[in-house]
Amino acid sequence: MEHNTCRENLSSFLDGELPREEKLSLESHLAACPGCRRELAELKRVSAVFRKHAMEPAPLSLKEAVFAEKPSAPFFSSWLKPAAAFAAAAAGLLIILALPKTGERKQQASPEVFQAASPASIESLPAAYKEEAFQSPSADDGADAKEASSFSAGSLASGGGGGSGQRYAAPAAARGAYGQAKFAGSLRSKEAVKASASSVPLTGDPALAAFFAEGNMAKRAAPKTIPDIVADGVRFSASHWRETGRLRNGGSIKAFDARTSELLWETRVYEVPEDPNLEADVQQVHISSLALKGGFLEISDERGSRYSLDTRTRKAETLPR
Amino acid sequence: MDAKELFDKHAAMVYNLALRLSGNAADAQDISQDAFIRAIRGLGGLRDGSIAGTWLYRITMNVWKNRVRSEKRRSFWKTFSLDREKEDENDQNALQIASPEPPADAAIEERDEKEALEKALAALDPEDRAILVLREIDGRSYEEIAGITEIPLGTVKSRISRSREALRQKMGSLLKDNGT
Repeated sequence: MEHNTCRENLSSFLDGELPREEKLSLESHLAACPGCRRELAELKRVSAVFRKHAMEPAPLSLKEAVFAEKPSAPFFSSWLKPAAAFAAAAAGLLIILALPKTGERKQQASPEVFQAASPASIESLPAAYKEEAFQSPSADDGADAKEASSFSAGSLASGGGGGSGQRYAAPAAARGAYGQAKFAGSLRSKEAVKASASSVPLTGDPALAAFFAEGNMAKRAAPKTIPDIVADGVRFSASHWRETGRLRNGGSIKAFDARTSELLWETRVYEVPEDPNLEADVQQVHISSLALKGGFLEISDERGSRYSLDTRTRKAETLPR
Repeated sequence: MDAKELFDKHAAMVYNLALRLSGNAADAQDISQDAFIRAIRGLGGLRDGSIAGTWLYRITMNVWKNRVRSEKRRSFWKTFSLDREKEDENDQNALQIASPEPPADAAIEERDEKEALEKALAALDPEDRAILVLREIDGRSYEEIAGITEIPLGTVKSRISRSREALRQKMGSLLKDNGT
């Protein structure tokens, strides 16, 4: 075996991945070549150092994040338990009153805000991302892809619904519990609806604990993906997600250099006050449309409010509906 | 295999794959979380529990790939800390990954070794780092790695060889000093 071929094969040799003949040939070369022996020894050392140092412990919060879903912390903090209990009880009453109506709503197949789905998935994945994330099913992860794509389609379909005035009409606490119960009703039994309506997710009910542990919480649908607008070398973006950091309840516009994608500026067109006692995402009010007219961005939000943003001064004003 | 078992068995590998792919702890956690949530959703359809690891690591790779694609589309590469052209940031990053505790005398050598490794790793392609994790830590065969990363077998072989050679070059003096 030639010296160069030997060097190319050292790594595979180390891993025991070399076919028998090549292995024999390499061994005889090694016996005669101190340079290759030294190199092999160093590669072994590289492997050893990697094995020794490359692993980092997974953060403890990962397990929590995967299994506990993401109920907002204050909601579950101990001093809020009585308030949460009261809210859920009140919500339960509303659900019982509203049950027949729920049936009607299902039949009409109207856009629903509250999705039975894993909030972490919805929250952390922009719609476009979800679409691609599941595009490459293979023999091994076919089930995952299938399941995920049906989820994706469902949430996108309802997320696309336009009019949203009534979405935010009901008291927020009631909405949250309504969504939970609806989820339970759609996937489980009526008993499950009653259970979630009459008891509280904090009382230690094992069925509910399991329910939450499995990650079943009501969440809003993903907001509409708003295409960026490019004009005069500037790209305006109303992304709902990562670009806005943790402030995901909407209203943020960013401008980039269209060529270099350098962030030129970012501004919030409107603020959405967040009640820390409620799940964050159901309170989000995202931008639902974006248009550029003569240097002004015309923006609508999911509540139907309209704004005009001067792209030069970056001042925003509210427009009549 | 239930979801908890899947998590307990593979969390460390998934996280470290994600860490080597993304190059920072925050993204690694996000990727791991997304990967597990996807995997747990599809767990019922997994017929053969013995391939759960392979399947889960592939999901992790896909979650990362999709993130990169999505970030690229928004041209947010700059804010990502693992741009290969940005040596300085990579160096800082390597230090971030390194242990923050001040070492005792006896541990200085170990710390240097780890820092040297992190610096050398920072210059590798993210996928190459992940391949090394699969090979060195999880002991996966080249064929399994090809399956997980969806990279041809021959390429896996040459990439492992190339990565090790790069690490050997960068950590040269350290390897010689310590002898073998």
